[in-house]
Amino acid sequence: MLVLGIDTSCDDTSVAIYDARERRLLSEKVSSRMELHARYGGVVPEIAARQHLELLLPMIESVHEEAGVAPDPETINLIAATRGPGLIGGLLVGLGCAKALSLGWGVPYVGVNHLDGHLVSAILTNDMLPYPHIALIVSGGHSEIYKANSPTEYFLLGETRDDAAGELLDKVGRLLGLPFPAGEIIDGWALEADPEEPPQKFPRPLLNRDVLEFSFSGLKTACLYFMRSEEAKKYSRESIGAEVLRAAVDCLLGKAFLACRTQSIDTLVISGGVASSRYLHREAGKRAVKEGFNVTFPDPNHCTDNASMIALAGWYRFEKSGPDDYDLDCDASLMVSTG
Amino acid sequence: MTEGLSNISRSEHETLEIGKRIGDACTGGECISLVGPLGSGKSVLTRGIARGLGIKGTVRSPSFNLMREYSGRLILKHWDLYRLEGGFRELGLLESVDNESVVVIEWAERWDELESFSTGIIYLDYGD
Repeated sequence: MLVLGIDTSCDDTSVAIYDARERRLLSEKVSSRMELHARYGGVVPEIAARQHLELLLPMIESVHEEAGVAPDPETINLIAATRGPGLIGGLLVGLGCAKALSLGWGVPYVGVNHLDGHLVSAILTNDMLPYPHIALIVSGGHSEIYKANSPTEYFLLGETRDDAAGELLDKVGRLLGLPFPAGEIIDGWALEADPEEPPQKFPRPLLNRDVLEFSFSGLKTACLYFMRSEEAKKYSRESIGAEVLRAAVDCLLGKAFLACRTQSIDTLVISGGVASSRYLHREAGKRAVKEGFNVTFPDPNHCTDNASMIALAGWYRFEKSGPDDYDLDCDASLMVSTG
Repeated sequence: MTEGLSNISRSEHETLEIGKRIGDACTGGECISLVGPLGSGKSVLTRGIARGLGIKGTVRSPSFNLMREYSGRLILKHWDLYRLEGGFRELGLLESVDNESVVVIEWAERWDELESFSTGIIYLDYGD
């Protein structure tokens, strides 16, 4: 059972071939890892869509080559492409390509929710992932907590009121004069900083309130006002950046473990781009031991956007409800699957 | 910048109230550009506008998805050009303006042509 996965929801083009029966990834390509283009601060949606269009077919050929299988209906059993959420231009390219290949090859296809992909991404490295579990998605566009009943059934428990955690790090990064994306650099600062001596204490919005919500906009504003103050001149940008990440991680873990306690579920799975933060790993590990929970992450390559998780989520969807019709549309603001 | 009204907000709450008054006054077809640095209150002002339009629930940052839509007395279309470097005409932003909607654009200064399409421009900055 080989699944061809396609993800074109954001800036990266990604294609993968996943063996769903053997639970084995045969090959995977992500455009940003191929150094085809330098990353820059902004995105031009039309150019991104055109880039997906140019890269997609050659990348599909190359994952077949790498997997050692022929690109035809004899080998590929299912095509899975992201249909939302994301930037509409890219989504149209990916889903359109999946439909065309499906028609041409006579192979079924499914449109996949990108968030469902993140929510199963940890299974790529740990196929014994227990259900139900609490799932935290943290990325540039999302900061959400779910109760995951199965790989196709999720219940939203809480989310951010304003900005996503990854957006906070990128915006603070810009204030600190860092290139985009800033997360990795700030992560390094937080790992090296001495936690015993915080230079200043930023607020942990909503942390002490009994709600499953985040508010990272308030944290961004606090950081901004601190940086405009006389006091800030005494501190390095490394120590300011580190404290912002510490505050964000306190909020993320505080609320995720609160969800575990209130739902009486002892496994927490953290996915999405920010889940590749080594500081978040270290803190999550420490607190999990202290509070008696298990914490699991996808491997770092599958925290950021990738087509392997789309192939896997697509397979689960196909097993449950069969192929999609060709009149399925993209949906830029799709919500997760509730079963 | 010399014409028009000027408002001083001393708190997030006051910014929210100013936004609410703007939302109250909207009748549909407005295209409001917000111009101002990070943390100057654009999102809070937009949340106020949403309240004025009778929209309940949270108004989250559209930075990632570029646009989020909310239904109230009128439809609020909340755009954010923060992540963009170009290609503005192809976004569908201008096409999103209609009589049933209020379009609010954060980081409007990224697109220099937007001024001529806006029914109102709000400049935000910090006081001392």
